[in-house]
Amino acid sequence: MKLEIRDLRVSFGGHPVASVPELAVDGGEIVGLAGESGSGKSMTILAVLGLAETAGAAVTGSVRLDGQELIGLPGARLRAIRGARIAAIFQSPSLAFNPVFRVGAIVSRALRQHGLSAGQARERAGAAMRSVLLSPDLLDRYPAQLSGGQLQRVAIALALALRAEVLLADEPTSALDVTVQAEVLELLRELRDSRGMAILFVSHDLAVIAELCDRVAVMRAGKVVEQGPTGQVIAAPRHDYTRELLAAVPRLGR
Amino acid sequence: MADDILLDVRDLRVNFGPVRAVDGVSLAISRGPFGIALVGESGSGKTTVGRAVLRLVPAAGGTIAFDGQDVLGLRGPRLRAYRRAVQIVFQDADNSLDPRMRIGATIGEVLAAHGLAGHGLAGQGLAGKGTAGRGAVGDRVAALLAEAALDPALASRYPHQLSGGQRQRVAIARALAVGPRLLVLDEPTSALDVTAQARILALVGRLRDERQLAYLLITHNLAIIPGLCEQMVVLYLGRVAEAGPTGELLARPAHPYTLALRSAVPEVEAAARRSRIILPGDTPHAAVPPPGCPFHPRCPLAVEICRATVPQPRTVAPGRQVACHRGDEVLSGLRPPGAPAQLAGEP
Repeated sequence: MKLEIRDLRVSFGGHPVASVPELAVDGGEIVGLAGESGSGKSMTILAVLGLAETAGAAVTGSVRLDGQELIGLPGARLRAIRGARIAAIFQSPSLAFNPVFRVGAIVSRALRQHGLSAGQARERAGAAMRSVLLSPDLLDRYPAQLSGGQLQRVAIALALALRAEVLLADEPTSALDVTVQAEVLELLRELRDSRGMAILFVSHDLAVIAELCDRVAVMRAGKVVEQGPTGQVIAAPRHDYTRELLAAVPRLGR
Repeated sequence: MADDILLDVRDLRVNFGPVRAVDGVSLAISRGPFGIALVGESGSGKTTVGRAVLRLVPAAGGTIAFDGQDVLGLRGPRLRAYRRAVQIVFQDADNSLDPRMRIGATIGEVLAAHGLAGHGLAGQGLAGKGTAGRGAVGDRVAALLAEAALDPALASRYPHQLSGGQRQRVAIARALAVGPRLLVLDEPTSALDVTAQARILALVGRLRDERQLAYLLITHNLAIIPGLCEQMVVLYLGRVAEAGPTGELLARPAHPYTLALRSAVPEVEAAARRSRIILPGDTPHAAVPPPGCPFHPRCPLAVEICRATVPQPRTVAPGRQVACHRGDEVLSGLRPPGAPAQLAGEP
């Protein structure tokens, strides 16, 4: 397994906010983490990134990348992994880009942080932009000059340029138009299929998860209540909460 | 027929400097209970239409009539009366509720601003007891919160103590406070979880019947429209691409843009999934509209005429208008072969 989470517990001042007994994502696979606001999905993502502690949380348990334990790893070694091998994209791409720098400067700074030369960074950034179907010309623009969908694709391009093996995607399409969402989902499928990326995809929308994810774990109030192959969970949900989430999805044919 | 129309928008134009944000939009809203959806992506002009209806942005052309009365010329007390009759609920309740005011004060302020805090509420369609004073306002606030399926005890809370779904319900309660006949709902659920969204939509459906409300539902998601809106209008770059009865329009779109919007809706059941039409790039900016049909650069069915001539809205079936040169073919089943490949951001 590429990414393995075991007995992960995140708590604030003794109050547990996320508890994941077991969740694994292999290369070439998209695993969904479903649930409402406050269910602990984002905290799980932050804990995997080693960022939950910086938010004041206590984290116990195990997160392994290719067998290597990440929990408790010293900051410098974790920083070398975070971004480079494990990348993350978030709900609001406009908040992920500093508005006063050109997009290309932000991308190339991140690449150089991980040891690339300026020339390599430029080359990789351009190629990555093309693979997310964006013109490299957009690198010369400021974040405010790009749409939300374009910025989200730049964020994905950054993960590609760094050759990330794992992508953590926290509600990456919830702030986008459905048409743009469809494009981003298509792109994530391609990353899985042609690059063998391991993707952990967080969403409150089971329809999006049904379309995208091979397996799914459903979280409620900090706990995983059900998990399994997406088709099975959707067709025969075992937990009432999963049924509730399914019933809430708006359907065109209704 | 015309007596059934509550709000009649004709050939509405809104300019921001040289930008034609809304470029000749017409739509008619029947008396409630009635729902009409205004659909489109970011940049389509749908929010601007809603704001123009409320006179929050000036119209550069066209007419808006409410109950047969010209809206664009209203001033003073008559404009205030109109704004009691037409209320808006914004997408982001986080920004439309004052963080320093308790929920009760936020709603009470609206009652006071419209002189509804004391007598004479019965005529406004509110469940008032006819007594003046603080207690009466408190009762009204409690009744409004209950009507929006909120615990009246929330009146003493601040917005940050509420969930996103609860805040949006407060925004709806506040809009209801003045007894409106028409609600403009501007993406009321797109900042919410699907579960909170389902509850808000159920609330809208209930209020529609209980209050005989008419509403304009602005959204980018076609899936929330069936069951709430009889009619829908699809906007693209400030113009109407297609309009008609919801059921027929969703079952048999006549515009390729509607096809694409429909195909973009994620579906739980594999059987419900349609072959997806991925539109290359984003909506072009209204400041530099493409020549010909505004949709042609992203349209998988574009032909020569689309690049040169702007399609005018025409009737393709009873009650159905479409602005597409190939509207008849699309209505009869013409479908795009596959998504064209083009890099977004390239000329």
